[in-house]
Amino acid sequence: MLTRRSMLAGAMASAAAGLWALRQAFARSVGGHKAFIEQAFAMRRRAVSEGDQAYGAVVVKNGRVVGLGPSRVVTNTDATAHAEMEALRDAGRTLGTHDLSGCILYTTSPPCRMCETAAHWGNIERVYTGADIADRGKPGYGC
Amino acid sequence: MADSIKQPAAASPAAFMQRALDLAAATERAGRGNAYGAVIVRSGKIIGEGANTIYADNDPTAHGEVEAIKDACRRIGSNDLSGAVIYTNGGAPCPMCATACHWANLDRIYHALRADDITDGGVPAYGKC
Repeated sequence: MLTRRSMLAGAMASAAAGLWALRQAFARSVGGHKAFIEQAFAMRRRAVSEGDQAYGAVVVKNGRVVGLGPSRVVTNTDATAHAEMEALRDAGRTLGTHDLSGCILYTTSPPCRMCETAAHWGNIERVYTGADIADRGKPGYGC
Repeated sequence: MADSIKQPAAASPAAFMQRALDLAAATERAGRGNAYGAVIVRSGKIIGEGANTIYADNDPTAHGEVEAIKDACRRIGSNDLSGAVIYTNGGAPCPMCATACHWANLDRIYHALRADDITDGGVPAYGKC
């Protein structure tokens, strides 16, 4: 039997479901990606301001940035510290695992073979690159 | 890694490869990573060493070769390892590690399953696979 209370509860539940669907749709949209690629470009600016190579990357899981990667090749004197590598390492520290399944990598430039294969080893789900947010798909092993 | 690297009694390819094999066995035994180790050698001396620590460091990039390159870069204070070579156990390095060797300007890759049977993997190439 429909009471005012049950109708109100139903309305609230459908409103919540609607908001959730909207949030999911936003996360999938260019708008959702845009916020994260902008964070990658913020990392690029940080790298440049610290005198490093002009690359930045972030790792995102469930709509939350879990890994930050300004390039640190120069500042850390580490030939392997490309932005993507640093973002993957940071994500591993944040999540407490080497398995970054379900994570997305956003990076300011198409990744080199080292970084693409690193993303593959990290089980990264998808890679987006550049200001046009190009979808590079699931990272491959090598070429 | 310790502050100073213990050098083998006699500098030889087999001794360097044996060190890589020992690092591999140790990291696996400790549960820190898979059984891979590597050393970077320049002018007959080990200037960097590393082992796979993907579990201990929660780091998908922590393969033996990458860790050895990081260690050598840190010790010599440069991201340019020109004139150095890498000894790593196992088959040819994965594309991540091979390309890391390329970026570090390593002269040559040597890999092996046994210290007395070393394969010359050639000059590290970009994305060779």
